[in-house]
Amino acid sequence: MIELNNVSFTYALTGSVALKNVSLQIYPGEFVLVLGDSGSGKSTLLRCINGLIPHFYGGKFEGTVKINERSTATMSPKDAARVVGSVFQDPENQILMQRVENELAFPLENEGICRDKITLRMEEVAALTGIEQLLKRKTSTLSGGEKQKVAIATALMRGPEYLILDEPTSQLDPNAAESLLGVLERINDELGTGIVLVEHRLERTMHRADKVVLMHQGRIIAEGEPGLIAAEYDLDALGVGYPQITRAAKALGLPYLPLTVKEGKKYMSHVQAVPHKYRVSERIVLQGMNLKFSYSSVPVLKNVSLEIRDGEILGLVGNNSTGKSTLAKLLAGLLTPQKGKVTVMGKNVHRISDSERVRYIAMVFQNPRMHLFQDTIYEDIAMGGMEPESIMKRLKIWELRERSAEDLSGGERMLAAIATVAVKKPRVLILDEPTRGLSWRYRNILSEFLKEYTHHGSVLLISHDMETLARNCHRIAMLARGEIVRVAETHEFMSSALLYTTQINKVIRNAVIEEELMQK
Amino acid sequence: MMLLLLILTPLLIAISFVHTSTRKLHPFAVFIWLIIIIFETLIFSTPLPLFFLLLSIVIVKLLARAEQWNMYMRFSLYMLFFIILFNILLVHTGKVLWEFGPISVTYGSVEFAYTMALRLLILMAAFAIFSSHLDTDNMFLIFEKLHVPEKTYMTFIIAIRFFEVLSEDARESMLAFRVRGIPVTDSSLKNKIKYRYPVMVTLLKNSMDRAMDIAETLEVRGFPSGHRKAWRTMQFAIFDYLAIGAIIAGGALCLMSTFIYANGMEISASLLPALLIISGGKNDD
Repeated sequence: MIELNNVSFTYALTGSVALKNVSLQIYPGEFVLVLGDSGSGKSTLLRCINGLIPHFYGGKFEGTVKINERSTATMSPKDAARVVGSVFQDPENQILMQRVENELAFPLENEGICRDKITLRMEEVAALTGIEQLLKRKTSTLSGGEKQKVAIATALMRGPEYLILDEPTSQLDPNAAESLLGVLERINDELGTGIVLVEHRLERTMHRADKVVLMHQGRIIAEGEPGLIAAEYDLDALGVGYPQITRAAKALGLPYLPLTVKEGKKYMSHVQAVPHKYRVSERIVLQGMNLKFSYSSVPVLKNVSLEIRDGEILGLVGNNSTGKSTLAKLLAGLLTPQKGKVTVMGKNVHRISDSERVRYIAMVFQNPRMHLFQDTIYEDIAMGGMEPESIMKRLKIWELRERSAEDLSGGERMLAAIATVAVKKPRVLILDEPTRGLSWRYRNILSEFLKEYTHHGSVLLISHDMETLARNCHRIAMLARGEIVRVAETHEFMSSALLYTTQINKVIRNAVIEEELMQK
Repeated sequence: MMLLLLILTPLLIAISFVHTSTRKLHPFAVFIWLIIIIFETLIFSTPLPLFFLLLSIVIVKLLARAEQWNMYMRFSLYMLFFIILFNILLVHTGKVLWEFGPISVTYGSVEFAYTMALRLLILMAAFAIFSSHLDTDNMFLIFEKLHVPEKTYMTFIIAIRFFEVLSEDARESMLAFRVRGIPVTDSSLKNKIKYRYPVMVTLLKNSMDRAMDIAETLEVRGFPSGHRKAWRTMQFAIFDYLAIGAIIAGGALCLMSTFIYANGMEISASLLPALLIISGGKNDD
């Protein structure tokens, strides 16, 4: 059993209290989902469990954490890793070797285990996690989802009793995320490995958990069975949110709260849809025509044409590594296509200087860090002589203006990065996966901001978060195998999709968001 | 005779590198090649042997694989500018060629600048080939055989493994500045220096985040343990022995030809100006 007793922790560098008197028991074989807004202490909790706190992170640590009756204060993270395997958020930074099989062998090599035992364990773990065909591959050629599966397999190599995962699906497309969570379920069922999962994507994870731990401002405010937590707490107010279908049922006042599409179909058959109609302007502001692009002779985009209309939010979806970011950079004029042309307001985007282009089009990258380098985010946003107060207030980061990027949570950093670009009010704003790792509260702030932005501009929103896309987009385009395979109005797109759609749409085909539902 | 040796040597080394479809050169052979190149780069002080050393690497590049060549070379060209500039400004040996106010450019400074530039090019080119030919995974095998401390070789391997990731970060960072209308690609030198500073800051902060993540990963994977044991072994084949022989012979021939050319002069003395610059001293030659 993992047992935390009155654990408090304050980071030495920032001086912020991350955990306050946290007590928790995690039993063998339990699937625990840890929920909380950004900055609520979820990642710190995981670091206490795997022993990185207090051994790796400096700070003030109080209380005790015991793994199988042994205190982590007396065992190093290396020792703790024999019982608790860890998987982190960014797949890129947790893969150390060039070949998948060597990556898997690495933890056991460190133990000095003999070759035969390593080979046997590798075969078993690869079969369990479904990565047999990847063993001989170079890690640099793997997609994000494959990398995360390799990271899980590597953590399993030592045969841990528990596996802790910090937002492992945040960078994955719906398909890859579902496949990864399926692997976790299998590990939990077949090996009896306890799972402690931190996630923001509740529609995929909540029904899988035996227990939900709800965190708020460094404290555990509730723990219990998922349905019970959903029924008793206002998770939206806590910044956590619900699975979309659960929120809809709650809003409609249904007696039973479904967590999955299956339960939704069972209990929401009497609900009918009143689809919202969006009006999209016919005026084109940004147009990419017959774009072709390759990286070192590897074709990424083959003849892509896409237009963004005045005042619209266009969603762009597609599996990982299909070229969505490349297309965004081409449209933003940051890359030059080998064939084809991009025009913004009728002007060739590649003939406009950088300083002039920012008035027409700008882009926010996946990693918000790339946009923030000054001592405070205020200075970052004010760069270039613009007045940042208004945009910072709209993005709810005005109170944080004196903080540096290092002192912000992931969600706050993303909003600050958006502000650095949007402050110049470009006619077209391109956002590359801004919802990655964002809690419900921050996704809501983003949605409000985007709706307001369409009063004077248009947005291209690349995301794997179907709920945010459904809530905001007028149209959605899908990129696959280097081509745009479908562009349609949001309802039309989602109604004909199996995976690239919302939970609600899977239950009631005419609706995509809960506001479109009413009881018959 | 010397010219013949200098031409034959690179060819001999290059042939060893030709990649067959069935197997790769043993990592130990590639490692020996790199060590010889580094050694000779340090001891050669005159441009001609350095030029031929560079030529030998270019021939290797033409005959063998070098996927990372362009990336390393782009980085070197950027560094070359600063190396030439600083050496010309800081070294004041030999006859004065030009004077611009307080700044004097001497024959010695120009010679030293292009010698240092050649050295940088050689080292970067050699590392480009080395990292293209050698899985960092295989470096573990070499370092473990040589009983290098775990932490030392892990630092080296991570530096190589993440060089590409950092290069990508640098490109992304430049683009992030361009989208804000900051002219980081401006052709004027003044603006280049002014605007690339924040790019470097961003890169540094991002690298620190990555470093923390990697350190966490190493910790939870049980590294360093002090009793690490590689699960793989790489057997030497006859081709590998031949290649190692050719590489050592090539290196020796190159060294010999330089002795003939320079009559043994200037070897090692070449390090003196560099040491003086590092220590802030002045070369009175």
